[in-house]
Formats: sequence, structure tokens, C-alpha cells
Amino acid sequence: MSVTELKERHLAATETINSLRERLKERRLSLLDTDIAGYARSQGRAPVTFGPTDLVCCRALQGHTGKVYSLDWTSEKNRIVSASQDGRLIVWNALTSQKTHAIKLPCAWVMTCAFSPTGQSVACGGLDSVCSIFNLNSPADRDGNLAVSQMLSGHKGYVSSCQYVPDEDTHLVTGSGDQTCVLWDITTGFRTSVFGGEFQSGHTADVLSISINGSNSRMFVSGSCDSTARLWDTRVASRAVRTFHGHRGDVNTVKFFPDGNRFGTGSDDGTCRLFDIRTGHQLQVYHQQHGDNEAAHVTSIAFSISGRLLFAGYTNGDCYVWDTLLAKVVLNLGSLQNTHEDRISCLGLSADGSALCTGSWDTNIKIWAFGGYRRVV
Amino acid sequence: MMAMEGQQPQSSSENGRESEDYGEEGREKGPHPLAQAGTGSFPGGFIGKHRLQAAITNLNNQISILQEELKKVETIGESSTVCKDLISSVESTPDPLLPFTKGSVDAGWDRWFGGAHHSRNHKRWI
Repeated sequence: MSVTELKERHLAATETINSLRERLKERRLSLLDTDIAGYARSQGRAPVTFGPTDLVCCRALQGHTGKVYSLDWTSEKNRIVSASQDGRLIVWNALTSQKTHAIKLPCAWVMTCAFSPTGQSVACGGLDSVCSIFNLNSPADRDGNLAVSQMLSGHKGYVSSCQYVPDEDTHLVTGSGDQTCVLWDITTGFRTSVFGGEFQSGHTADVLSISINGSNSRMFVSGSCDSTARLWDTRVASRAVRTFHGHRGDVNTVKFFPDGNRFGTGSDDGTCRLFDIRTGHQLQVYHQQHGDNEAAHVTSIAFSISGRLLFAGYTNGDCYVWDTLLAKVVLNLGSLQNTHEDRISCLGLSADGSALCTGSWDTNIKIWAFGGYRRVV
Repeated sequence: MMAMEGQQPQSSSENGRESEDYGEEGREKGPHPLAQAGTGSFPGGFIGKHRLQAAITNLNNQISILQEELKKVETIGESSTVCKDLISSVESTPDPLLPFTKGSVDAGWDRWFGGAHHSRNHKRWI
């Protein structure tokens, strides 16, 4: 077959794809008979209301000397690991505000960190394109530094995000600027599966964030600079289970909803969105009008343990608390006492849901908890 | 968005984003032949046959994926069904960060206030 014929076939296939996408989009729109807020209002639901001292900053974890880029809680409630541009990982006892480990990194340009499910190891990654694992139980050297216990090399771009597979200290998923996600076997240091890449239905730009489904650890979602989020099944690496369109900017953050049946996203377009993984429906857009000003970008999101609250950190230092059911901002942590003085770069909820942790470019980490009176209904 | 101060991330895509023009729904505005195939041109402006064939195979895979998804979409319900399910899921879970709770309050929720705060007897921690 000649090159000309092949080009014609290519063009025809491209046109077919575009028309199929259009049909798919129209069909989806026809099924969106309501969004969550509309439905919740029709069912008589009212927004959550917070008093001025209901959500309070009850801890400030100070110790980093550079911008905080990432944080993660352990599953046993009280410890946090944070990663900063000062080139250190710090492990904190959040309850006492004490540092238990300060790990000097081989590469200071760190972008992500994660605690292993047992809390015995931490992982981090960044511009060195490597995911480094540190065993917190291993002995420190004379300067108090921990040696890297495993280096997961293979990405061809920066490591933007990492998360351990729940209940397994031996497997971890990373997202990278090379447009792929990788499932790693930490014991061997080898890649188990690569998600995306050339000639596969993967992301077409940098992967910025990943989130593993807590209810079904075979499923994870990724957000990318290609403005999409994609759902993956670790058993089928060759293609994404589903691609979620809607954002008009980089998808900086993705997080599974507590029930595991949906996930949230946050983007440079200033919106957060909620998608249903089984139907593919975009259930809600969370967007605050800012007059003529360009909307601040969403850097990070977290859901409260029931999913009723969506915490969203923004580049302007705001941290909105959205009522997910009514799509209303019910509080802005950025306007409270003792708040951050720069952009909120990362958010995380404690395992039991009793505290929210925020990390910022102001070098500080803060813990927020409910300090008001709880009505029993 | 994610580039760090003082250093640009090395990325396989230009400026950490796709260089293609994106329209609604985060998709290519128009057909961009060879864009997804990662095909390059040879010096004479000719495109390698094997690359074109690989690109066509890739596009055909995408077509079958989209057709599969169209079939699935025919069977899924309206969004109101999902909304109903979501609301019942949210409202059945006790949440320590909400000003109300169903059932008893877990004492561990208030550990951040060192015992000085008890929601049961209306004491406030400020």
C-alpha cells in the first residue's frame, strides 16, 4: 500500500474518531438530567453551616525552610510525612508536633511523598525522575541521614505523584511528566505495569496526580496536563478504562471519593469536578465566580470522610470548604486566623477523618480540626 | 502548573503541556493527522510507511474503544440515579469535621484538643 493511500486511511480514521467522540458527547449530555446540587436542592437539603470557631487551626508544624510541595498521613492516624523544596522529607507526630525523622534527599527537587500502609517506609519523587524509598527503621548515618533503601528508576520525566497500594508495602504507583503511570514492585525495584505511553490510549501530556481507589485497589485515576482524568485497572495496562473530559486546563489533582464510586479533580481552569466512575457522568462542577479576575488555579483537593465536604487549595492561598451536595463554599480556611500566607500546595485528611492537614509555599504545615459543638441528629 | 521555581521539569511535552490546540472538552479542535501517532517526517518530507501503519493501527484501536463506550453509554442511567446513590452514601457516614453527627461521637475525634474540648458538654476550644 502506498504512502498516499495510508495517509488517506489515516485521515478517514481520524474523522471517524472525531464523529464518534461527538456522538458520545451528545449521548452523555442527554443523560445529564441534573447535577448533584440540583438534585439535593430538589430533595430539600440545606448547605452545611459553620460557626466562626468550628474549624480551627489546632497545630502548626514548623521546620521546613522551603516551600512545602506534598504531604501524606499514615493509616494509623497521627503521623505525617511532608516534602519540601528545602530538600528534606520530614516525618511528624501530628499530635505532639514533634519531628521523628528529617531525611536529607539526594535530589532537592522533590514534588511528591507518600507513607507506606504500615508506616514503616516513605517514598518520594521529583525532578530526578526517580522514586526513592526510605525505610524509617533503618539506622541513620553519623549525620543523622537515612540511606535510600530502594530506587525505582525507569521514568523518562519528573515523578509528579506517588501512592502506595493500600494494604501493601510492596507495591506503589507513580505518575510522571513522561505521560505515563507505573505500578512498581518495590521488593525487586522493577516495573510491574506501565500505563500509557506511545501507541496506547494513555495521557498525551504530563501526568500530574494519581489516586488509588480505597475500596478497590486495582483501580486508580490519573490527572494530566492534557486536561483529562483517566481511570485505570492495574490488570489492563494497555488502555485506560475510561477518559473523563470537561476541564479546560491542566488537571493538577485527583482524589477518590470515600465510597470509591466517584472521584474529584482540581484544575488550572479554577474548577473542581466530581465524576462517577461507573457511568462516566460529570456530576458537579465546583466553581466560585471571581468577577473579572482570572480564577485561581486549584492545586490540591481532599474529601472529608463522608464526602460531604470537599477541601480545595488554590494558588492564591484560599482553601475553600465546599459542600459537595449543594456546590456551595461554606467556609474559606484562607480567611481564618492562623492561616497560610502563600499558596496551598497540598492537602490531606487523617485516616479517621478527624483532621485536615494543609501544606503551603509559606513553608508551614497546619492541622485543622472541628472545635465547635456537634449536634447529634 | 507543576514546574518548580528555579528549574524547569524535563518533560516529553512542550512546556509541560501538549503543543496541540485544545478546544472544548479538552480535545483536539480538528483532525490533526499524525498528531497522536508520534510520527516524524524524514528529510524529504516523507513519512515512514511503518510509522503510518502503526499510527493507523493506533487510531483503529481508539475507534473500537469509542464504539465500545458508545454501546456502554446506551445502557447507563440518567445522572439523577447516581445523585440519589451519592446522597445516601454521604449521609450514612459519620463525619468528624461536620457540625452534626448521626449516632455517638467518637472520643478520638477530639484528640487534637488535648482533652480540653468535649462536644457533649458544650465546651469550646478556641
